[in-house]
Amino acid sequence: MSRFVIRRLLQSVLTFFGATLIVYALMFSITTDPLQALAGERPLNASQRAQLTAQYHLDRPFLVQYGYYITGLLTGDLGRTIAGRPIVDVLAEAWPRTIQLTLITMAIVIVIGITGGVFAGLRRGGVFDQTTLALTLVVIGTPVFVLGTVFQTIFAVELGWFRPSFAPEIGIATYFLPAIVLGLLSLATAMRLTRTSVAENLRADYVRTANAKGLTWRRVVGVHVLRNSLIPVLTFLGTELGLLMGGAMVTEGIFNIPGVGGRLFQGIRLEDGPLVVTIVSLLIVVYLITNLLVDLTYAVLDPRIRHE
Amino acid sequence: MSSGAVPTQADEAVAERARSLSGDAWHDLRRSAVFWTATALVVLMSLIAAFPGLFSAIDARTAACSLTDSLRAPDANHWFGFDKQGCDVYSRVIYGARSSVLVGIFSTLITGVVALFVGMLAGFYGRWIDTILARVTDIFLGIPPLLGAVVVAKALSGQELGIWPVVLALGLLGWPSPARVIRSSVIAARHQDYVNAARILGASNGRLMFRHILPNALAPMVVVLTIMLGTFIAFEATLSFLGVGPRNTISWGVDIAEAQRWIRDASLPLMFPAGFLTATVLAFIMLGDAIREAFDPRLR
Repeated sequence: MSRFVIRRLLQSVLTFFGATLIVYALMFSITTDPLQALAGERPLNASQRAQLTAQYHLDRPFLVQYGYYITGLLTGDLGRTIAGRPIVDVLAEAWPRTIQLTLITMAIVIVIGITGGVFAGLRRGGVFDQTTLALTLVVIGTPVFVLGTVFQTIFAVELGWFRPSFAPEIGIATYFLPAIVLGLLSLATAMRLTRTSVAENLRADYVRTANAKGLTWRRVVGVHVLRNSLIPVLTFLGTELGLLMGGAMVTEGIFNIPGVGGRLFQGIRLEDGPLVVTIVSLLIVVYLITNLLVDLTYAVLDPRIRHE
Repeated sequence: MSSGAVPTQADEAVAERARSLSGDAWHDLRRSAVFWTATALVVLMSLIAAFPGLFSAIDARTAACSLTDSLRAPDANHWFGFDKQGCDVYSRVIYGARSSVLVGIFSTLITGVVALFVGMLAGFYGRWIDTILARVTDIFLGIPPLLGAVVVAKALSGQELGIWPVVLALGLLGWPSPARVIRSSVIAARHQDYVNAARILGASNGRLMFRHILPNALAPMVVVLTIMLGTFIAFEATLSFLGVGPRNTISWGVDIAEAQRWIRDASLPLMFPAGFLTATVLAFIMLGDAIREAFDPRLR
């Protein structure tokens, strides 16, 4: 087990450096003149330019600059946005909102997705199963921004059940509609996964044995089938948690939530290299950590993986 | 399937009993309503993308829009009504299909070629080549796809390159998952008897890879790529919606973003491009799904 953990850790570290390097290189190629962007409207004279170039190591080769950047990132110095605001402050303000949104989304996905999937799987081919299959298919085919705008129109503007945009004064209720939009795709996938998994496990030998022992149906499904069916669903949900944090960009944009996704999109529009690279790097870290945790949990649950 | 020694009359009977995997799959697919619906939609959308003039009397690229028609309701000549600028929504939806379908096709081609190359090398040679390629795949998987695509598209969007920045962004970020699929099917095929037989007969590595192993790894690859084509179309629209999509082209994503601003006054200019977009994405995903089910022996 410890060999497996160490190997997975090393892989994650490598992925982290590779992925941040790619994003850094891309942002590096976008920004035309970072010094002018820093100075804003004021013209820069040659000596100011030289001083700033030295201060920000802009005269150094690309890889050295990346080295400076990553050292800063790892020692907790996230740098400043091009407007001069510490990125730590921006994130400290934005993270809680994104985390709240993601947690509420996950709760909706888990409760509705798994319950629905279990019911559909138990009565495969039934009315409920067919309906959810058709509905989930439509959801999978609809891009998030279409879902977001359509839901915003119908449920917030027309029906007035929700606020159409972020309203901190009503507490976490303001996240409900965005969370539904953000989570619908994961919900559909989780539901289909649970359904297939439950339907497959129902035909397994151990279910026949449990039935033959005279256990109640409730116990067979609730304990035997569920425990085995949920392993693939858990892995999926774990990976999804990491993706949701980054994928909230569109949803946060539509509902005007000033979270990490919203800031990120703003940063891309303004060509704010430092902000974008930092946020994307942090999202990559979140994604890698959740993936790592999922893999380790999976290894605990399924001995075939750790003895690979 | 049948050997040459069997008389021709019995041939059909043998074929009936023991069809090849693809024969089985085709037998299943022919009866699948989902498959035919999806195929019909895909053909229709491709026709619209290739010959928009056949479907709309108004050429949306050159049509003069009149602000007096702004957000007007549909009538007999303008089935989908008008958008804020007074342009005919139907013709814009028809002419918007091309950029979506082209982006889908080209990014899938790039993804397919890269994935085939990486997956085949990793699966066939194994050892250190596999290890290195697996790490590279991991790195690309570690970049959240939408974020990566936005950054790449933005990086290339300075010049007037039409759909290509988006195509490159999607193509270069999309390959890891099909590459993994190809790698595993190549590994499954690598030590089959017929491959060993070909190797003993002196076939070169290239011949082994492309004449013997590839045909057997093709089915799962086609399935993944069909589904990806659908998701690429969704991504193209999302990027247009976010403002980093193709420039100077009519696009569903741009129209949806624009219509969203006037949603309180008229919802049809949003609903029609959104409906076409969803139908197209869905068609490709359903097609891939139907083929996968037909090829999956566990579901029989």
